[in-house]
Amino acid sequence: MKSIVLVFNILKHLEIDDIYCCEIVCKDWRKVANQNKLWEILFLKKLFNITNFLNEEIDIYNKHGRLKELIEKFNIKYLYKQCFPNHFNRFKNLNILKNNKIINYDHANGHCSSSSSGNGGHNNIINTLSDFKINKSNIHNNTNNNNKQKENEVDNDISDIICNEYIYFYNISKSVIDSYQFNYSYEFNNNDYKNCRLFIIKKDTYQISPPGKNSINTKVDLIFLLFIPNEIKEYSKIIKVNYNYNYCIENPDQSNYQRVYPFNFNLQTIELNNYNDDDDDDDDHHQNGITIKDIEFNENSKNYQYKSMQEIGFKGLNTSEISEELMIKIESFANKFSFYSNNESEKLNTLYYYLTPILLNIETKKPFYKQQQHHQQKQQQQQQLEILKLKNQKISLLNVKWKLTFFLNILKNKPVEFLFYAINDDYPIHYHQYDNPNEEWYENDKPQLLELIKISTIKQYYHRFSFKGSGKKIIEFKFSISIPTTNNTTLTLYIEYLSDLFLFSIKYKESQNNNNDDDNNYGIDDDNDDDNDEDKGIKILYKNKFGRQEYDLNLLKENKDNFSNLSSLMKLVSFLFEGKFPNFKFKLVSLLIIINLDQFMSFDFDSSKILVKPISSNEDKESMYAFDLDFGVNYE
Amino acid sequence: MSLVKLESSDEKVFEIEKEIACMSVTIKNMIEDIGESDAPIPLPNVTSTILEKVLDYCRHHHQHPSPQGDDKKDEKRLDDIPPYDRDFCKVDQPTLFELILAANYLDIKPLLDVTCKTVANMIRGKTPEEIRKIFNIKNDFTPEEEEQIRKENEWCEDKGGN
Repeated sequence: MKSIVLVFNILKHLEIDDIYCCEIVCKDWRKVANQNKLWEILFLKKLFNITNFLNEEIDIYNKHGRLKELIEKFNIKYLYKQCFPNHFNRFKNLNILKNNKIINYDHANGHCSSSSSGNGGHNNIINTLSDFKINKSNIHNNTNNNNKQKENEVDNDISDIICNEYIYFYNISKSVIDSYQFNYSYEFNNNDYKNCRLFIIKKDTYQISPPGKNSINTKVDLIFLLFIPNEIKEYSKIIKVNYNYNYCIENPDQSNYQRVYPFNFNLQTIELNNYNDDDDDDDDHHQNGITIKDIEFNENSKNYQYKSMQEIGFKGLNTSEISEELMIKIESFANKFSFYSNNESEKLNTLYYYLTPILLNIETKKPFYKQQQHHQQKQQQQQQLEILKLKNQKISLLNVKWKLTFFLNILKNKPVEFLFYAINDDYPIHYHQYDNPNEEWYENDKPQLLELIKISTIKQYYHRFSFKGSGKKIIEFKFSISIPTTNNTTLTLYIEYLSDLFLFSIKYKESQNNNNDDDNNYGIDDDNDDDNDEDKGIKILYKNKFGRQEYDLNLLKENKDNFSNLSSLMKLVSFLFEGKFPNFKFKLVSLLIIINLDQFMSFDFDSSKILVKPISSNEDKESMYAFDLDFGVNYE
Repeated sequence: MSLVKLESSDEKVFEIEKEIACMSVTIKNMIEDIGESDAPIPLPNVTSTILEKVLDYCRHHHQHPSPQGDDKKDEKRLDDIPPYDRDFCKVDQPTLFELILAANYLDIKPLLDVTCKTVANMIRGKTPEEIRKIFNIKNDFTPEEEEQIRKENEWCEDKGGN
């Protein structure tokens, strides 16, 4: 080929597997195959699902100027690998599957099929049968005595099985692969007892290029179904065995694969006498995917017969229709891949999420977390300045002092009610009850309040950054605060702010002091479903969904409002966590120290002077940044 | 409609409508630069055989413009080459490469795309060795270098093995 330019023009029409192949043709081609511009096209093709890419980059960049800005800074081949590891690595892993004789892969068409005709396929069937032999005793042990003799006949017949083998597979398009899934079904006929049938459904799911592992995870679901008909309908049975196991196919060139051992065996006997033709809507008859009522009976001959495999719960396994259905339901281990979704905006958001910190690193030549630290320090300095300003503004200070004291006081005495009223603007009347700062309780309760917040701890928290298309930082957090109260109980407040959902909620639970274990269960993976919370005895105190615009506005206003308006706990908490990386467990007082609110606490109202020195806890401050949840990096 | 004259490298002159000739960005720029003139525009990098084919292509697409707007809507495959273009590209390999070079020189994007796509189709699914054979390319990697690249792109090794 005479010109590098021409090679480029040809290669840009190819997929990465062919481009890799071209890379090895000669040195000139290798140069072209590694050109940033070529990978930029591949990247955009993949990102926007453009199969026939001509000059779309111009339109794309016109529409997504920020993308262009980001892409220019990166080695796109590397970026491609980061963003589409599934796509990037799949060929290597496909070969492992091939070498294990599990699949045949037709490179020319991008089609994949199970190697049923090869040795591997045969071995698979043998393995399946071995598994069955292991498990069949379980089947028999659980079988009704009425059928004992017949089952033994089945048992003896397993060794010389004549199979009608059905193997189904997917044609996987080159562009989207999460996992490969193969479905096999075997139908075994017993010559001595023809009406008794055993079906084995085997579903293999291969995860191609698992994140962080150089091996292939495989999940196998085996379903054994033994249908033992009886002339008396009620004595017929289906015995169902679910046998699931995972294993890894080792990549011989890598050492860090992990073997996953088999798990989860369960046996289920489905009594046909539960069958009720008339009760169409009863979901209880659907057990683990088997619809009992799908079994058809031939009333005339008094024998139960399958109409076909299709109609007994394995609907359409041998039809193209079900292939489509299963393809849609294709199971993926890889849901943590960067671009799991094909949605354009989701992919872009994910891209910005990943690229923005990296870009910041590139631009400033500093790791992102250091910039965060720097940002935090700067923010703290600004806060100090704000505080100094506030100190010179008596009225503002008065407000801050009053409201914080109010917050802490009520938190001690009536925490639930306080939070409710403090957040809910519909009940402003409660503020007025404490509007007179000369009330006696104020001074008297002060030491106790300090004590209270000292012993209050943040037990669990979850906090992460994300970046939206505009580049704006979005913060999410969840945490629980444990507050000892009177009557030997502990009040646990669960506060969560999920920016994706634009949800802010406060929940609480009261428990005995010596029984707080449940409180620790409020982890990051907890289901937010209200029903589950109710099961745990957690009651919703406050819940609000608000729109993106409102949230953005709040963020903008936050810095101005925080010191003068702490009546909104949302603002308080949002502010506390803005740009902060709280240590895993620290005292509530530390939280206050972070934002220097302790200074207000010790501010004497009457004399307008700080009488007590700010609560100092250098240790807490130092350990504050010990763990960056976002990136999971220890950088202390 | 005004005509322009194009002169191939072997000094053969072709007369063609200006509008059609201007499908080539290179020719369009030349016309703009030199202004109206009876003198043939020299195209020293294109032989008469190839230029004739190129002009055929331009004439056809000038008469049958493809609906550009719809192209992007449909997900297209690599082998989705329109029938005329597919037939147009059914030529021997040297001619195809010359067409690519001409399309590149004359800056006729659709022609460049279709010819390059045709070559890309020839490459699809082939092993490196097969590609070298098709395009008569000498492998200038040392065995060590080749091994290194193969290691990087592990899947390549098996590709030809089956």
